[in-house]
Amino acid sequence: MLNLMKTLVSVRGISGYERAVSDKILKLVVPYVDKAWNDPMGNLIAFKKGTAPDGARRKIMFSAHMDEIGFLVTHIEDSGFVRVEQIGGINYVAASYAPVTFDSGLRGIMVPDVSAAPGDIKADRVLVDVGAKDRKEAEKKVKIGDFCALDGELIRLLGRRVAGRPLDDRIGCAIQIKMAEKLKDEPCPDDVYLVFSVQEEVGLRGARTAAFGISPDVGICFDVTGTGDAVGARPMACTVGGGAAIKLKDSSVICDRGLADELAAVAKEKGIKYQFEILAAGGTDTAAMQAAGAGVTAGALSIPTRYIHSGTEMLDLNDAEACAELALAWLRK
Amino acid sequence: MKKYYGLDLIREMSCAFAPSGCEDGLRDFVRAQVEDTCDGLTEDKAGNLLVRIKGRGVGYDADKPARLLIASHMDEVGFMIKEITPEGYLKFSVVGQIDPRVLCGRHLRIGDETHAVKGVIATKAIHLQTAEERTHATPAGKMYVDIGAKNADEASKLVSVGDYAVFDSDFVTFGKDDRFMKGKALNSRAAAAALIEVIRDLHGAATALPFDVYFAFTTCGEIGIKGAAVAANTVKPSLCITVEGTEANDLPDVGASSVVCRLGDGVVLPLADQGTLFDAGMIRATVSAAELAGAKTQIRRGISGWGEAAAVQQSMAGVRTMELALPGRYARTASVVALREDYVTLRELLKNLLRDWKF
Repeated sequence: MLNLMKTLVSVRGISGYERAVSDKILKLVVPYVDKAWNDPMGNLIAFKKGTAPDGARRKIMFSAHMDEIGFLVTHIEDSGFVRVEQIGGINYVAASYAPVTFDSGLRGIMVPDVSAAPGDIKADRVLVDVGAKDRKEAEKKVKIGDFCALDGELIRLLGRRVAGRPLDDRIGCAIQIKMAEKLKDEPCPDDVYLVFSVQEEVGLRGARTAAFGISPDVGICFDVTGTGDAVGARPMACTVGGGAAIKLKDSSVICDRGLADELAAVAKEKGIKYQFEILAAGGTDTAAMQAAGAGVTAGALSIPTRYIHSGTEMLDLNDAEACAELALAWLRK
Repeated sequence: MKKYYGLDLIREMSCAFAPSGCEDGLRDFVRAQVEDTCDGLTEDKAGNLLVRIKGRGVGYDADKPARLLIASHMDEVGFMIKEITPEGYLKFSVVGQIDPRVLCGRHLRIGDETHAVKGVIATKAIHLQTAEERTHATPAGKMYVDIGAKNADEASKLVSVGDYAVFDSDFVTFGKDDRFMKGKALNSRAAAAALIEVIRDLHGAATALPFDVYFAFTTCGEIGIKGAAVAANTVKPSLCITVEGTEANDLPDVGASSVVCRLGDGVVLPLADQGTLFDAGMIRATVSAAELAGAKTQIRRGISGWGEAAAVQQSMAGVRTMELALPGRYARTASVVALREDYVTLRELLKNLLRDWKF
């Protein structure tokens, strides 16, 4: 899981521009599944047929998003500084002075107006310094329409805890890749669609259309969730290390309670560490799947994570592995 | 009905009475302009006009043809009369998003596409306002329309609650060599006019495309892109180009790095807005095609707004979508300003993209 995450965080792909991430994941997942393809919006869908006879197989969709928050280049100043617009909910204060990488490979640093007070740091006062002397030099390496994102990173903390970015939601992608590996050796009765979705950070857009196309019976999302154990965190009975977080609701969705109870029962039976999660603010692909087409029974298994959307996020790989284990146990029950 | 071309077509479209929900008259006009030069047209349940140009030739599957949707909304922002006061003044609701600061003293036409009464938007004179009232713009809810009626009785003979109203704004050309155009709803109506001219050209040129093209003149774009969502589900395209107006802010007090697009710099290609991240592949192909054809294009430097593309991109199992936009200053006011040459660039670029399909 650690090495897989190192690979996944090293690729840059913001909402709408996920191709490089999709290509990387495709290579990792294609040895284990029956079919893999990109749909019109760019979602990567990996399909594994179930063992039950025709007509007796349900369609189970899993979703983890490939996109990370980032920036689109909208203007290059005469001074050579690059002006960007944010894509996805970014904390500009947290991103200040952070190193970024462009899709071309060019490196830069996100810099606020140095005279701006922390409270004034907003999109129109943040630029990227690529070290160019002037516009001409900058234009040799970057153009309007390019994108950039904060550099990926993964550092080991104590135990099996890691910090870095973008853990949201490369950890979900890692879980799905691990599931594909396990399903190859031990398939389950139902058809499984592992969807690596696009454009989640800007409104759950990929999962919506992927779910319409697949029309699954059940949809389960793997994404990060907040915790109550960070300094000054809002009270929340969800902690890093507390196990796979079975989502009951977030601000975009009320999960199917029957499904949540099933997942809890399987976890209890198999001795998989789990906790419940109710997230006060934040949406996930779960909501998009639930309302797609004529509706889908939807739920989520979340990975408790501190400092989401900041410069550096933190989670426990044990929790991620518990999510994968629980999903597989549920598929095989 | 008479057929219109070029500037005259834009004039007729700009002056048409068609606020969101009241598009019947304009739809009839558009129908008459293209019915002889297409392979069929229909109207769907949302009132969208769908005009088809059939594909043919190499790669065309006659049983299950692929479809390209090109969509442009017909409607404009406007008003609806919600009350007639005892004194014969009218109170109104705004249809779509209009900055109340552009309303004071405006002329309106009240009624529908068949008949209209003239009126003026009235507000309290400044010397009669309280100190508090003077510190902010009068909200639309506190404004009146004066139609010159003595009392409610007289007013009721001329208008009814539920009547629509639009800005009463002439279409004029101005500036050096008459390069500039001004009219209400100008850049979105000119975008729709471009579609009409492209339909005629495509039909006339007998171009062989390996797919059907559906041109959709949609309804209710200004109040939440409702028409486009229905058009997408009716047509079920695999690719879509939305053609709209977009706000140009190339004005004196705006810093160079804050200008999102300029009149005269050609067709605007947005990378994104608040509802859509446009298909990067389609944008690249369009920029290349435009360069080869010598057509000016500009990438929009900003991602505000919410166009029709969002409704189409996320319909069904997803549709690859791009937007081409005509820049216009002062959108959603009585005097939208655009350049004639930008219109020509847009029209010709669309023709080129279809004649020399690269997507």
